[in-house]
Amino acid sequence: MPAHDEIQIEFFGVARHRTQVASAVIPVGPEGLSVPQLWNVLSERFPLLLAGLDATMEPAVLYSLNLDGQRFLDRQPATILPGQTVLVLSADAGG
Amino acid sequence: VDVSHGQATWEDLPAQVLRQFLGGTGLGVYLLLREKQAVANPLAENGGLAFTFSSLVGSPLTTSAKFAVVCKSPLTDRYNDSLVSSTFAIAGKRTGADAIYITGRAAELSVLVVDDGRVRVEPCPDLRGLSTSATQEALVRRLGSDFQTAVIGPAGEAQVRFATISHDGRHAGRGGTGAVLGARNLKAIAVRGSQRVPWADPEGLYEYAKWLSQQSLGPATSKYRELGTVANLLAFNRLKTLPTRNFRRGSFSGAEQISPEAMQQDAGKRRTSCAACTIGCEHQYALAGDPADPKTYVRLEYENLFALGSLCSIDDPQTVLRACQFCDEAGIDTISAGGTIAFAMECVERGWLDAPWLRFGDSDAMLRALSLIAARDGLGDLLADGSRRLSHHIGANSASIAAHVKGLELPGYEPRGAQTMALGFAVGARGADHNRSGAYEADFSNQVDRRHATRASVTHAIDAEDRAALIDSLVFCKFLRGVFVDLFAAAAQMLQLVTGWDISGSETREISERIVATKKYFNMLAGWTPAEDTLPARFFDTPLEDDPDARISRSEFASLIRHYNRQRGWTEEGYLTTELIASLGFSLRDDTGDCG
Repeated sequence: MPAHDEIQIEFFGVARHRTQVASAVIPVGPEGLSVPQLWNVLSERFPLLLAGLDATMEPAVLYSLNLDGQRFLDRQPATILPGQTVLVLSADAGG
Repeated sequence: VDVSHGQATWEDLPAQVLRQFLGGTGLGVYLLLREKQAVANPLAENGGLAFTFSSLVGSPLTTSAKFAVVCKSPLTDRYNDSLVSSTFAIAGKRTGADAIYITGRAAELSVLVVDDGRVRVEPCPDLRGLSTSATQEALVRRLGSDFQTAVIGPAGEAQVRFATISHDGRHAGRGGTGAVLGARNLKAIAVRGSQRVPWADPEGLYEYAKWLSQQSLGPATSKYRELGTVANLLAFNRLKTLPTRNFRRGSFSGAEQISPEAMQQDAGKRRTSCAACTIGCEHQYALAGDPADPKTYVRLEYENLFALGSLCSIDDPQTVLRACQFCDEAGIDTISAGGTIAFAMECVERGWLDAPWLRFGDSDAMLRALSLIAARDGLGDLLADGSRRLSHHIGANSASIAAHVKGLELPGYEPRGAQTMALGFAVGARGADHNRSGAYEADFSNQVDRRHATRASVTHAIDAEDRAALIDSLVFCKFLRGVFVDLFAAAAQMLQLVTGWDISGSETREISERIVATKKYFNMLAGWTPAEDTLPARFFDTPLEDDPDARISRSEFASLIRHYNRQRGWTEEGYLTTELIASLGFSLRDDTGDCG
C-alpha cells in the first residue's frame, strides 16, 4: 500500500520495458494528480516512456491507466489521490 | 481438388461472390456451404477444406501476405477457420487461385502440388512421422525452394482433433485443420506460381501502402514490436484475468518466473517477422543450450505461455519453451492442448481420472502428456479428442469444469474478469476464441465494467466480431487494427485501390455482418442449438478464488445473449430467419445436401 502522501505506479509491458523498472513512487499533495499531470511527472522521470509520440498524440495511444486494478482511467478526466496505485498497461490488450 | 482420384477442376467464382464475401474466412464459409460441408464429417472421405486468399494478397499493403484454412472442425463439429501468414499466401495467389478446395482421400500419404495452373498428387510415404519443420525442409529438397508449403506434423497424421497446419513456423492453429488435411492423407500442399493480378490504381495503392507501413511503425503497434503478445502475461496477472489452474484462479504465483521479462534476462532472444510485414511481432526465446544454434529459439506468444504455463501451473520457463517447441513441431494447437491437459489434471486431482502422474505444476507430466497426444498413445488418445469429448468419457460432473465453448478450449482471458469477452466467447461461431472477437478491448478500457456485463457490452461484442470478420476476409493482420480511425472506410479504400470497386465503408460493414451471419447459418445446418451459446458451468457457479467479485450471473448472461441475437436481427434464440438466409443467397432446402 502506498503511503498517504504518495501515489504508487506499477509498470507493465511496454512501460516496464522502456522504464526498466517494475514500479515507482510519486510524492503528491492531498489534492492528488490529474491524468495529464501524472503523464508530465512520469515522462520527466522516465524520458523513454512516451518516446515515439509526437505533439498531436495522446499517451492513451500507447498506454491504458488502471486505478488499483479496478477501474480504467484512459480518456476521461480523473483525479488520482494519494494512497492510490496506478497501473500503466499497454493500450492494446490483444494476443 | 479431389485427391481420391487426383483430379482438379478450375472454376470461375462469380464476381458477386467475391464482392459479397471478399476472401479469407468469408470466401471460405461460402465455399464450405456450397460444398455441403455443414452436414459432412470433416474426417470422412467427403470432408474437405479450403485454402483461401484474397484480393489484397500480393499487394504492397503491409501484413497482407495471409491466407485462411477453412473447414468444419473435427473438434467442435461446427464452422472453423484459421489464419496463417507469410510466403505461402503470395505463392498460392500466384497460382491463379482465389481458393483451393480439397476433398477426398489419397491412396497413400501424399503431397498436393499446385504448380501455376497444374495440379498433381505425389505420394510421399517417406515423410510419414516427420515434424513440421523437417517436412518443410524435405519438400524444399524434393521440389525446390521456389515452392511454398503448408504441412502437418505427426499430430495431423494421427488426426488429433486440434492438429494444426504449419507454414514456415506459423500455424493455422485452432479447430483441427491439420486433422482434416491428415484425413485427406495429405502431408502437405505445395504451391508455386507466376501469375499476377493487376491492381486498379497502382499509384494510389503504393501511396496508401507507404502510409500504412509508416503507421505500422508507430505507437499503435509498439507493444508487438517491443515485446510481442507475451507482454500480456504480467498485466493480466495483476488484473486477475490470467487463467490459472484450469480457470480456478485469475493470477499465478509463478507468473514472474515465466514472464518474458525474466526469460530474456536468463536466455537469448531475437525478433523476426512474416513476409511482407513491417511490424515484426515474433519474439523468439532461447532454449537452454547453445544460443548460436538457430534451432534453439522458440517463438513465444501469450496464448502459448498461458496455456502451457499458468493454466497448468507450470512455472519453469524452459518447460514452457520446450512444450511450445514440441507443439510447433508435432503440429498441435497450444491452446487446446494446454486446456485439455489442465482439465485432465483437475480431473485427476478430483479422483475422476486415473492418471496419478498427471499433476498441476509437474513439468515432466506436461511434456509427457503432449508426447502422448501427438502419438495418440494411451491416455493421449483420449486427450487428443479435446476436453469436451474427454469430459463425456470421464462423466461424473466433469463437464462443468471443462473450459470450452462448442468444444473449442478457451484462450487466455478469464471470462469472469473480462465479461465482454465472455459474451464474445459464448456467441462465437468457431467457439471460444479471441481472434474472432476482440471484445476484450472493451473490457480493458473505461468503456465497460469488465466484471459486470451490460447491454453496452453486447454492442461492443458485436462490433468486435464484425471487425474481426472483415479483417479476416480481406485479409490483413489484426495487429494493425489500432492504426485505423475507421476500419470499415479504410477497408473500402484498400479494396477500391486494388479491385477498382466503387465500394464504401457502409458496404464493408454490411459484408462483415453477412459473413458473421453466414458462419452462423453454417452452424445451424451443422446442428447448432441455442444451448451452445453459453459458458461452462464453472464460470456461473464459482467465483474466482482470488477475485470473488468477479462473478457471472447465469440468468443475466442468458438475457444478454438474447439481446445479442436481437441486435443481430436474428430470432431471440439465435436462429437466422428464412428471409435473412435468402438474403445471404442461400436456401435451407438446398444447403443441407443429402440430409434434407
